Amino acid sequence: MLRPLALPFPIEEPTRKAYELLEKVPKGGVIVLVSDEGFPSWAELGPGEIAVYRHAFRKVKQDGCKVIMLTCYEIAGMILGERALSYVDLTGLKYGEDWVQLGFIPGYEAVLAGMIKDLKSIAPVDKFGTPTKDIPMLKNINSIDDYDFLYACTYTAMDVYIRQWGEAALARGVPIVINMLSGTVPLAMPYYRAGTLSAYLNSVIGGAGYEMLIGQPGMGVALLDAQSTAHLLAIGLIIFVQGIFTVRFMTRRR
Amino acid sequence: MEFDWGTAIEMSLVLMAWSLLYRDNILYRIAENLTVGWFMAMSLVVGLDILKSRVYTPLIIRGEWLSPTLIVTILGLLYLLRLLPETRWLARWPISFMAGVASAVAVKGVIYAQIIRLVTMKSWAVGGLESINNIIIATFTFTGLCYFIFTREHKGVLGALAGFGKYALMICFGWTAGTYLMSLISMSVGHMQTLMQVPGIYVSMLGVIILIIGIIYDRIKISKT
Amino acid sequence: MSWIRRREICILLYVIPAAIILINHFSGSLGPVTSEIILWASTLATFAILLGVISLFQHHLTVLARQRRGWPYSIILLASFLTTFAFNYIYPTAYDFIINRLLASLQMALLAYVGFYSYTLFFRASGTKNPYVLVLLVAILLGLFYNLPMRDVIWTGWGPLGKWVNDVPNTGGMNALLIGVGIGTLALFIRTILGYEEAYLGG
Repeated sequence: MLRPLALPFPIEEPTRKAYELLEKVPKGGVIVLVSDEGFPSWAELGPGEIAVYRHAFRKVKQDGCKVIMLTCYEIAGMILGERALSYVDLTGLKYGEDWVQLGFIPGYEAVLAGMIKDLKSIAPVDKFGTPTKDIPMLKNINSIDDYDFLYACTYTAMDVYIRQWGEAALARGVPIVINMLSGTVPLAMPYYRAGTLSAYLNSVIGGAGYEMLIGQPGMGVALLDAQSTAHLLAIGLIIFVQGIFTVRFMTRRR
Repeated sequence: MEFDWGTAIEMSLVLMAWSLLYRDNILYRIAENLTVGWFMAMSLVVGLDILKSRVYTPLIIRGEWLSPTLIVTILGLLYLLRLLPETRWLARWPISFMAGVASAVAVKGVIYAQIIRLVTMKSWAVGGLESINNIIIATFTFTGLCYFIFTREHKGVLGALAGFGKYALMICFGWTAGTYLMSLISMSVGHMQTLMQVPGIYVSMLGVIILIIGIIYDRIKISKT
Repeated sequence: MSWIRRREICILLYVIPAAIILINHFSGSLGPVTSEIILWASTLATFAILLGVISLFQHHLTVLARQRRGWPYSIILLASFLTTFAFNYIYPTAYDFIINRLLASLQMALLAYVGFYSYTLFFRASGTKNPYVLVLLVAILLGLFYNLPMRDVIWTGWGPLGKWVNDVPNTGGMNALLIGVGIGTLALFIRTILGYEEAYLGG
């Protein structure tokens, strides 16, 4: 942290896949960004979230895509989604025509289920109180038939997103990308292998990799160095403790 | 250069929270109660905003009394009756409704995504290492499921399969624990960075001084008793 | 009037929306009704947030009024709650600062503490002489090394080995877990519909 070591790190295959899937969203496509991370997980998920937001809004500028932002798990997600948005250059873009913020919609799984069939019914107003039926961008966008990319950032189990989006998204070829904590990646592996989860970002490593792929290294790359040394210290302590125990165990047996 | 008081206060609160690593103390309790108080305030602000748009505006401003909004408002108010012991039983109605919706929504997703899709995975005989991998996955899945059969005693063939399943689950849990531990330590890395730069470094030094005073005080207290 | 307290009403309130949602999922009909029900659930969740806040407020007010153990901390909690709530309307800059900076950092710090504490589990886990625990510890160490950003500097084999463990044995075990959870969810749903489960009623 005091002197950056610039240690190398691998860009994982799911991270590349996530990047390619967002890059492949067609002109005028609809990108749904669900921010369900909490304050404690910002250090881990923030880099990936910011990188995805930057990429999504680059698609808005270059290909006329549309972005829908919402939160359904925790209020903090809405605040952190806005924090990620503050890192994006929005010059030349117009709210209501290029992107819309639906804010916090309580209900978690029920909201995820509802947005597949009828977005405007579960989000009657946007974050600023404007009725969604009056927002120009949402005139022809209401269900999974209109979405082209589903992204969720979560610090809890990601099954919920797969359960609600999986069947409908798979049937229509809509990719699902989830930015998750390292601890929930093992839980995601069956879905990834089964194809219901198209790609994922593995916390800071995934976030740093995504930053490199979009050509804008930021918080993730900066944190990785510090994270590496912290992890090494932790592993060292664990091996040390196990070593002490093993020696004690052997001497007690004698 | 102007002193960044905001970051200084932020890092002070972080160190107050971490002081629990030494022992339970007044500074940690203050930080804990501040967190709860602020979180309550944030929840109330956002909650009232949502109720304003979903209940107050349709019912009071637009006067749509003969709409489903009235029913959901009544159900919601029944929720609040939980606070009084005499009317607590009325809160079971909205809770039952919520439970019904949540269960149905979960069940409709579980059938496809969590059962059908996971059971009918990709091709078994694709050749080479992939086939062996698929066989290993199938074996671990099957034996793991055998472990969760509680209607029969784990003896004989079932016992052997469940025993192997236990190892499969241990690998799975250990792997998850290892990756999760990494993510937990990452949460503090960002703060540590800030604590080593101005003005966090001054807060860190003050924290160390307070810790030393605390340790000396505790030692004196122990030696007196 | 005692019929109004009957649990059958609660079961009906559970079954009717559940049935509507499932009918909509499998047949495609009752779409607007399903959307309305989900909106109701979302609105009720907001009332639940309100209930939580009021409940906590009531609890700490009681602690303060009766001067129970830890009552000075209740003053801090209530004062921070009321002032922050007021700031949202009279001084939004302060509200933003408190929520975006102070609360965010504090929550991060409080959860990071769990990370520090979880390393002590190795002190405790090392006490057992069980082959299962050995397998668990080896898997934990593998997981730790695989998630190290600079793992390739230590040994280039961590990546492929870790990837294989992640993709194959872990996937197998997780499959079992997820399928088990799925079947359990279905079983619990059926039991609740038939009235055998009353956990959601608090009894």
